[in-house]
Amino acid sequence: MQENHRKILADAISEVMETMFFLCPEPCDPGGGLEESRSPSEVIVHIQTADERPCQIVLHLPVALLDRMAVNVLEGLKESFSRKDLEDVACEFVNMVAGAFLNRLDAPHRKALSLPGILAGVSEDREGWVSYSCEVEGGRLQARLSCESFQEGAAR
Amino acid sequence: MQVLIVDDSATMRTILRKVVSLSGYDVKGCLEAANGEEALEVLAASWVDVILLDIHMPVMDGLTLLRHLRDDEMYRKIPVVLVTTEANQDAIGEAVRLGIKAHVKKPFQPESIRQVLQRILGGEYARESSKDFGGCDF
Repeated sequence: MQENHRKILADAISEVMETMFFLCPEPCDPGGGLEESRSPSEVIVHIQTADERPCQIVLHLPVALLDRMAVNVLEGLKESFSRKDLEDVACEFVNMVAGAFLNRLDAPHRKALSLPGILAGVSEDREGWVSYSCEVEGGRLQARLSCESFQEGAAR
Repeated sequence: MQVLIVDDSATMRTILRKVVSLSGYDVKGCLEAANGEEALEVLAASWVDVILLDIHMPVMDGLTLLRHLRDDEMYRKIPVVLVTTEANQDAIGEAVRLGIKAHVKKPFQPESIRQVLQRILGGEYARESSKDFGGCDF
């Protein structure tokens, strides 16, 4: 089931990255793991479904990658992008990834989403989380997913 | 044509503004609001021909705004296009009951927005030489 969820998450990330930001992610080895605390060179963004046992997605996005994404969709409007601009891009990205992920599941598992948010750090228990990493122009995107509420036969 | 884009993400508002401006319609203005409450303030001051609306927003979400619009004689005929990541069928069903004209899932191809506008607005406001999106360039 974890492998299935990893595949769905990877497909969702690729769809959003290619359709909205014109970037093609390449899957890669997660390597040394995720940093526990927020680094100024990355934005950690989080979203979850709004139910008792939420499905959660956490993305670590390098600032250089977010800058590339911002340029691809906002070019011509600004010469440079503030941290706030990049966090907004990150929030909309995780929102779309979560939507694309849920839309690949059977209808009963398509729960309503909460609003995305920026995390100051990651300290929760990672047991049972699915990890996925990919290289994109601008850096390595690292993703984690927890969907304990539907471990059984959810994917289409 | 005057368009109101209601989305809490400035990034998404910018993307939609670009898509609408390249949609082949004569866009006089793209008004923006970050939530339903701001949208009602915009509507009180300006007429709009179509609303592109997200569901998940702080302060006032898209479904609450839709209820306000349907309860108001002045606003109930403004066509609303839902542009959202929402995957939950109950929420989409509620939006349909509240009278949305179309639903576009994010992420979307720019062409899908153009097609929806064409279906809703027909030839009204269409420029003589509309841009063919072809691929996915904005």
